[in-house]
Amino acid sequence: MNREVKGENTELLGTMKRWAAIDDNVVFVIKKTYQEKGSVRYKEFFENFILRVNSGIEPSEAIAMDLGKIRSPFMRNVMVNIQSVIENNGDLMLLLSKFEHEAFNIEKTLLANRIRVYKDRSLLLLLISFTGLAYLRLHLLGLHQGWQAWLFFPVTLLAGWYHGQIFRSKY
Amino acid sequence: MLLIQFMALSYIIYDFLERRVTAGSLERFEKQANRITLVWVMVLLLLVLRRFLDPLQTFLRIVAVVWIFEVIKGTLESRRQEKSQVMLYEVFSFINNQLAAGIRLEDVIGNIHRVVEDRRFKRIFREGGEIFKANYDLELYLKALGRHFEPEEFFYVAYSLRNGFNLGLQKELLKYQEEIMFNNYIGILIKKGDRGQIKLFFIALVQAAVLVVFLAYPILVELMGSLAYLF
Repeated sequence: MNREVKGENTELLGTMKRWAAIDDNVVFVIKKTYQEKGSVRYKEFFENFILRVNSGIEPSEAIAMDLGKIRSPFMRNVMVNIQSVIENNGDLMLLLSKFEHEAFNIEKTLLANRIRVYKDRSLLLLLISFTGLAYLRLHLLGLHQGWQAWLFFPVTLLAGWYHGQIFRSKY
Repeated sequence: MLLIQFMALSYIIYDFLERRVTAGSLERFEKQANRITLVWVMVLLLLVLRRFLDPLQTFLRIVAVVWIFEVIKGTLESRRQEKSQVMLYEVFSFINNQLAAGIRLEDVIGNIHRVVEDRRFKRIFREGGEIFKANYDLELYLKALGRHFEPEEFFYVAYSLRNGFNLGLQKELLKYQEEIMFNNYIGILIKKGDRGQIKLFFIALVQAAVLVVFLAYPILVELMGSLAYLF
């Protein structure tokens, strides 16, 4: 589980809410948010949305097209909510302020319970690389045997897969 | 004659039980009966095959298989529970937020499936939404959905939907429920993180053991060679 949360989602939602307070239009909100913070997170999503809307696609459909670009399930939820609000003429600002509050609560809790996982991750990567080197050394010494491959590949693949899984998982 | 009497008596008892016993306890009874049947079949098999089997070995094997089965079952069950709790929280927060944004509940129910990521439940929610749109019967909708969840888990979602449908938005009640569900959700997030830490530690341990074996192997080979050379 990725615990290195820095309140990015809260910040993004706060920005969106501020622009929504000025104008209740999704296109306006997303354009302005992209100008302010687009380069930080979900860049592709924002860029694609603006491009699609400029080329004449409905905003709700443009959101639906690029939902897969957002990795965080929470933000995907937010976007689905926004989509539903556009379709049914809801109040965007109220929705965004609610989600800002929710994101703040989640990120606050995760920050309070943070464990330093970078250390463990780097240790695992070091171990994998050293094991690979030791395996190659056996080849160089001419001591390579079959059982070593059966020991090395499954364990290293498992460790690498798990390492990737930890990196990928987000809230 | 005795057999007929016995069968008649058992039929009467069965009929009586069927009328008296509630569905929940019957389910529990069925579970117990299944277990007892399993054990009975095992004992019969053991009795039949006792000449061909080593009793201790067979017993240990059976214990091992049952233990592994129970462990896998428990893990799958807890994983399913976590998944459904997270999903229900997402559904609940979707309903709440949409109601707060001023959208009619009829429109919300039709869109619930969008928040759900699990394929099976996505289909279930979509079909339920279609049924609801066809006849606007909330109880029917909740009944159709509730079959796929545990009642304690589904209670809050059903309650919020009923509130939204019958009484309009009730902010304070929903807020209280949201807090409870949010705490569950965040607890699952933290638990996942802790579990990840433990798994990470064990994987690092296995990797370190492999590293030690690879480093020690040439030394051992040389040692054996020198021993052979000496003696």
